[in-house]
Amino acid sequence: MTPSPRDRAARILESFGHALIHEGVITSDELERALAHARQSGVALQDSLVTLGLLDEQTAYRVLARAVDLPFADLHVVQPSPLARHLVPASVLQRHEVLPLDVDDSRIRYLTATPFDADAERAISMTTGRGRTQALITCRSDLRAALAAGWPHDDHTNSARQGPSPQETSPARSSVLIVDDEATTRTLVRLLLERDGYRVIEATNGRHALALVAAQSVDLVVIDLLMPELDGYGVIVELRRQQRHVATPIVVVTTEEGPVVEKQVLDLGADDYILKPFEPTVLISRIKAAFRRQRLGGAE
Amino acid sequence: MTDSSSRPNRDSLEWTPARMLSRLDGDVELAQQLAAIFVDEYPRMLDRLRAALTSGVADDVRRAAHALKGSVSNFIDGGPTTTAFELENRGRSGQLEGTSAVLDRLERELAALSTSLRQFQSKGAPPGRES
Repeated sequence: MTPSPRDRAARILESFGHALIHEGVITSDELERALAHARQSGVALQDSLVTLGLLDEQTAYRVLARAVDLPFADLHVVQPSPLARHLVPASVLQRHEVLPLDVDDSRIRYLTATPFDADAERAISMTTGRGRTQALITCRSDLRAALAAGWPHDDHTNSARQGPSPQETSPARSSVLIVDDEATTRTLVRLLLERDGYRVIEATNGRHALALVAAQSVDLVVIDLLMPELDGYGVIVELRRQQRHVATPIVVVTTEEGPVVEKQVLDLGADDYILKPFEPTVLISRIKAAFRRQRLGGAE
Repeated sequence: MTDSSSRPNRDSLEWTPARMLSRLDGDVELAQQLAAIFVDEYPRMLDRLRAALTSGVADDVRRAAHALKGSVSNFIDGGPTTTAFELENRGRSGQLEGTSAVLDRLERELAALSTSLRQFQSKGAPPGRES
């Protein structure tokens, strides 16, 4: 069942509030103050935060974009996926003024200045073979309007055509966090896991990973060792310190080779150690085995 | 809990679509997507390695070469993977003399791989899938 615009808006607001606190941008008291101000003044939360001087507009919108799962961290910096760019012919991009962002198994998401452009949708569907498209808003004013109205896709896209949003994801679907600074491997692992029905979250370094596990539900971690900011060893130690993740399976996937490394990561608390390059089917089997062992451990 | 079974047995130094597709259960779209990402990503990684070598900071060389090795090893065992590993080892040992020739070789190998991957992207799966 598709949630109502009011429910979606409430969920977005909740995600936004959580993200602000978990990212350490504001305190919970400050969030309460801003929420009260927003209610009294009838303005959006992000505007109250800026008005009260709790954070600058750029930060507010950066966190908001992440919280509502827009595929870019900053509304000014858009990084389309190479495949999406490859799929959509230049003639379609120019004629319809769209920027393809990313694709999944059947849907392509794109940015456009006219979010509900049926002609663009039709052209993209025909040229990419993707039956479903999803337009994303392009600028802050559009984001403001969308939040004020609830969410843009409800009145435009029927539920049969639209895939589940992250908020609608079944709780039974396991979440896997992939931590790797190297995009090709990260993408390979993500696509393999998504093909098997897992929900996937990505982090590009250890610090980013810890911020994500603090803010989201993570059932298993696939992690590289050598990364900037905070390496994989540090993340394993930190996760094992946290009661919440004391038993979360951790699978190390690395090019760091040798029995010393293997022993070290297992001693620190990792559950498995796999060398790159790995055989994709074996990686998936190892991940399933890690989940199985966790379930058996929990049943004892 | 050993990892040996997870490592593919790829003894060729040449990248072929058939071998990659066999690794990915014949998933052409996945293979093309990976190829696209690598072709898009590797110049930045190479720039980072080049800058590290220019700066002469051995640990930066090790890290940059390590990242590149991890990325390219998704496609090929030898060639650029081996060369990146050589630079990673040079960074680890702090022996950076004479690395410009190794970097030149790596650039050539990556350019050749990139050309093959681009062709694969534009042509798709080869007829038949024999290696």
